[in-house]
Amino acid sequence: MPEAASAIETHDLSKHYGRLVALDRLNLTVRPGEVYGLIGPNGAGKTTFLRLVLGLARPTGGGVRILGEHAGTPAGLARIGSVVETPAFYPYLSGHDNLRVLAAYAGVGTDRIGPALERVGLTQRARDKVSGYSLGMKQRLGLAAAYLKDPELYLLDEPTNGLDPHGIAAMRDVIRELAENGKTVLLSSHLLAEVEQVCDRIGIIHHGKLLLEETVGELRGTGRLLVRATPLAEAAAIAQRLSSVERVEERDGALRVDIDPGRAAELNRELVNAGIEVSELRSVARTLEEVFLQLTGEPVAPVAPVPGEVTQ
Amino acid sequence: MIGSISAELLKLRKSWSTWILGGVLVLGLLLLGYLLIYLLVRNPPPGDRGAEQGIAALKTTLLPANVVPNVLGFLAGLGGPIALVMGALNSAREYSLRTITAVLTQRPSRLGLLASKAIALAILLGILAVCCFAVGVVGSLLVAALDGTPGSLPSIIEIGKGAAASWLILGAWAALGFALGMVLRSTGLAIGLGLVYALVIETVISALGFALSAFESVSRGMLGRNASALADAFGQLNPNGGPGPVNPPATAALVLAAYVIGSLVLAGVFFTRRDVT
Repeated sequence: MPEAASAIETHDLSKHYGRLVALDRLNLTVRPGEVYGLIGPNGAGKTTFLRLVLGLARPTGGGVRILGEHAGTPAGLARIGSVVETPAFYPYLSGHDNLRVLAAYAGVGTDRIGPALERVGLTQRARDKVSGYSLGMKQRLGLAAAYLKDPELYLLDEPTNGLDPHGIAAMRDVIRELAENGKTVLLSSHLLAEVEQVCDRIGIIHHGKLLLEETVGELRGTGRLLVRATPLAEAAAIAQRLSSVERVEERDGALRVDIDPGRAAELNRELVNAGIEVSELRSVARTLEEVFLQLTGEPVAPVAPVPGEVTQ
Repeated sequence: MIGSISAELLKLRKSWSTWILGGVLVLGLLLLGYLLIYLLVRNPPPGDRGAEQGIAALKTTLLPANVVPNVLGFLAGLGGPIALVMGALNSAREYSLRTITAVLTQRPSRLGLLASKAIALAILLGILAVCCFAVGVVGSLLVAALDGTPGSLPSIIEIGKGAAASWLILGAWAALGFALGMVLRSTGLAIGLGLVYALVIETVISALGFALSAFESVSRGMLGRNASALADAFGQLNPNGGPGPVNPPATAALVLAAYVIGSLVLAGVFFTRRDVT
């Protein structure tokens, strides 16, 4: 079994459906052992990306390697467990028999079925037909199917769809447990809080393009100061004029100023010299939602356009 | 491959549609091929001498000596559409249920999965062919016993050849349905179009073949006509009751084999080259 430098690595990966560009020269890397969050609004290209990784669809440009293998090869698939979209099963079979079928396709023993069902809490309902399962139970059965192969890489596409709050919390625990056991997880979701809580690194995808790929810490740690001052509009205008300031937002009666926190004194001095009364000035971490909205072109109440700022 | 075949067999075994369609085939043979005709023979409608002769001829079809042509004749007629539906369900249902994604992300290659499905279907059809002949043997022996007519069964080799021919006939129809399912990715559409071909297009072209020579050559390639031609090779039960064989037996068998291979190749091309949606 080859030890790949990257769990997933794409090179200018593109997928077009006629004139529709679903993925546009995507270059993305998932490292072994990390939990990678792929976030983007609905229709951004997340599921298309996963389908390409699994070999269900073929790229129209570029390429992808998974665990050192080409996408969709039996050797690669044997090392990947996936829950893509809402898992579908044979409704006329029980949960247990569905896993028997999938285990046979995967070439693994039926002795793994019991532990997989137990791990997702479906042992009691294992002999019931899947046609009677709720959406949440199907999600859990999908996860049990992914467990069967004891894979190195898990691809989870919106895994909390249809789960109640307990199920969502349990799914978070599952992902953390997988990470603790050295598994690589690619989590695709449009739920930012879900991703922020469990992922090491994040890629933001929008209109088929990868806009950003950083660790959660890097994303949130980008310099930002919170400023409470009077009058606020005048303070915003002064902050905007500083060359070191990248962006100013006004929200909840305060300013969020994108600037290296080490230059807080400079900003404070400019405001005070202009006669602005500064009541609070401190460094704050940006939320993933703020970064996401900024990158995807939906800024949160911008005060004024900033020269050179990318606004989509 | 072995794992994939066992998975396919498990699905077939647990599916109601397999039991219903298989039951219709086997019970249909028993009811329509033996019981109904036997009741007709025992209670003939009052009529002319021609009708009496026809009924006497019908009686001979039920006897053990004619078990092979009787079973084959039934399978070449009603068996074809049933096998076509089985084939279409086997391939298209994975798309209708959206389980194709779950299957292909486990491990099997697309060609491996396609081959596994075809082999499992062939095993099922083989079992059904054997069951039909078993029913035919029991039915014909019962008729002989009830009628007090001494009769002996054909040799086991002859019955085996008949079972193999019926397997080929059912296989050709099932392969056509299988290919339609893979190409159309819709159970309803595949079954609908398949039945239109089996019940309408074949009939129309065959009818036109009697009147127009251009259609005669087309009808030589029709699946149903060649299935009947192969069945007739084991004994034409009613030589004056319909059109003669469209091809010699060996040619008919080759045409049916070509349907099997051509359908599987077509299914393979579409299955391996298209994205799974």
